[in-house]
Amino acid sequence: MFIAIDIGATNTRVASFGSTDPASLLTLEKFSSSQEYSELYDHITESIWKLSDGNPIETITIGSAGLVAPDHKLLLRNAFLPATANKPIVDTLEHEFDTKVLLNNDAVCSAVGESYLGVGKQGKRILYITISTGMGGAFVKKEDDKTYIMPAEIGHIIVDLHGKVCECGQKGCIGAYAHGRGLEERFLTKPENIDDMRIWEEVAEYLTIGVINGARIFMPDTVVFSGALIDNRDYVFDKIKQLYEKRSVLRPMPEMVKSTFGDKSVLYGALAFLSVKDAEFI
Amino acid sequence: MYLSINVTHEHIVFTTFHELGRDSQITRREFPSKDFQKYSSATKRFGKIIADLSKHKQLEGIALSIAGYVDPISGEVLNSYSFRDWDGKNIRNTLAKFNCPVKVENDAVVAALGQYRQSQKERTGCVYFARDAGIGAAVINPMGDKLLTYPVELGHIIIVPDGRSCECGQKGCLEQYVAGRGVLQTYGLTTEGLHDEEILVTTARYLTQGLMTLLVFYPLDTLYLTGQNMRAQHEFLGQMAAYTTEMLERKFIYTRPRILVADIEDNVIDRGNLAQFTYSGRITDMRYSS
Repeated sequence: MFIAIDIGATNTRVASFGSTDPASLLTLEKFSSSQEYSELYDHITESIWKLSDGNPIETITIGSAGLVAPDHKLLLRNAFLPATANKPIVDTLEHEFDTKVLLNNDAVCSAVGESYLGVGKQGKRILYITISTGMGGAFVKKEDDKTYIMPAEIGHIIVDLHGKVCECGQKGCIGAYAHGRGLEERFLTKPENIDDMRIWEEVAEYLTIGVINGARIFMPDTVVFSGALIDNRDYVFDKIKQLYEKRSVLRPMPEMVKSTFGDKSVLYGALAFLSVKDAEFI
Repeated sequence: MYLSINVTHEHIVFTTFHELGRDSQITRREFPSKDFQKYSSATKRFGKIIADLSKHKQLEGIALSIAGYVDPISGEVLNSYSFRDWDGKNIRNTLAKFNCPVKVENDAVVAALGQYRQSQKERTGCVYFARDAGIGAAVINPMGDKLLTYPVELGHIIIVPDGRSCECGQKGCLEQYVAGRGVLQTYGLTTEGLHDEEILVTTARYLTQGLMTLLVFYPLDTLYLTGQNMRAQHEFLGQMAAYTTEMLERKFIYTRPRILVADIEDNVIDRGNLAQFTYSGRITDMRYSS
């Protein structure tokens, strides 16, 4: 049995799989991500015990928001769940379940999942962008015997040096204008309550700049969009495509698609990591 | 004998070298780029010039650098803003008649390779200011015994939404605010003519913004500023390095690279072109699929 965990800013999901095939999903648990690390950790371990039900666990694989240390043992920084930073989650889980534990950034997991199992399967250079409470991404380049992975903090592209303060501490990051928390801070209401189309058009404008700049840096053949802010709003997705075509001169245009796995992309991606050959982080 | 060809917006420079090491330059010939705009006539002129330069000598290799999108694997020019008629043409195939290895690469990558030969072998970034045109950038990352070379079209990152029109067709591109024709149009000056502190600070502000975009994707140890005409641009680049360092210190919260002005002289491109033969173990360019 394989366990995949998605530690998100709002919710944490724990899933069991019979094999490394995503179709082998057995059970899924979802709960709110506690800001208290011990509470979050206890909730995760309870779920693993429950899902494994006494069966041996081959590997636990985690996708988490935040900056993962180069040795993939802990999170160095997590703007949304600060208490998880510098906690030995890998070592403690390995000890408790006597199995191997892999930790990767959540956007990186999703990017790998979409690139190998999802909508980016046909692509060779895939830029994955996720926009929900926060905003992140990763670039995956597939070669026959190698996978190059570059985490892409696309939400922190600067659009105005004197702009709004982002949760990262910088000013004028795209995220402050386009992701869930940024919108909530600006308009004092949750994004799901915003129905002014001018606001969503502006969100699409900023996201398009992020996509164009990301494309200039990575030259992707496929751009995969994911996250609650896009999943439920086709008009934002369509507007980005429209604006990209109008504003970018990069040709051929990358194929722009929505994620296959939606809110389970981190879980499937964490699982996909077990099948990726010779992944190299850049 | 090795031949370095540097294709720029203004000139095409042919330089021959005895060997790949330093200080072995034999000849240098410069021609106005306008005479090479049509690919068919350019290749004819290339043929004559190269045949003349290599008379009675054995050509060991030709390395050509050009601004814009180039596929170093196939040798095809994908999108060169200054030489539109070259787009879609395969330079490697054209030069194959000289029966020697031919390398074709983006000019910023070549400048970065030239600088990397002298640098500390760390993750090195190189921002390359073309004298009268734009701005390019490349990242060199040592990975084991190989080098990852990674060109970045930094000049066409959008830093001002709906900003000034760039000749690439976009609006608000960095190079419209920092380099080449953008500076010329706005201030009536070339970059090396910029001495006004207010203008320099404004320019550095935009460069900082562009670099922050590059650095969130790609943390670097050292970042070099260099130019197509280093002697003329040295003061400008020094000022930019100083202002940009200060701005990054205040504004960028992640690991900040050292920003230095490249210390090699005007032949940075030639050194980089020759380095293409030395660093044969380069990892496939990240932009293209092998």
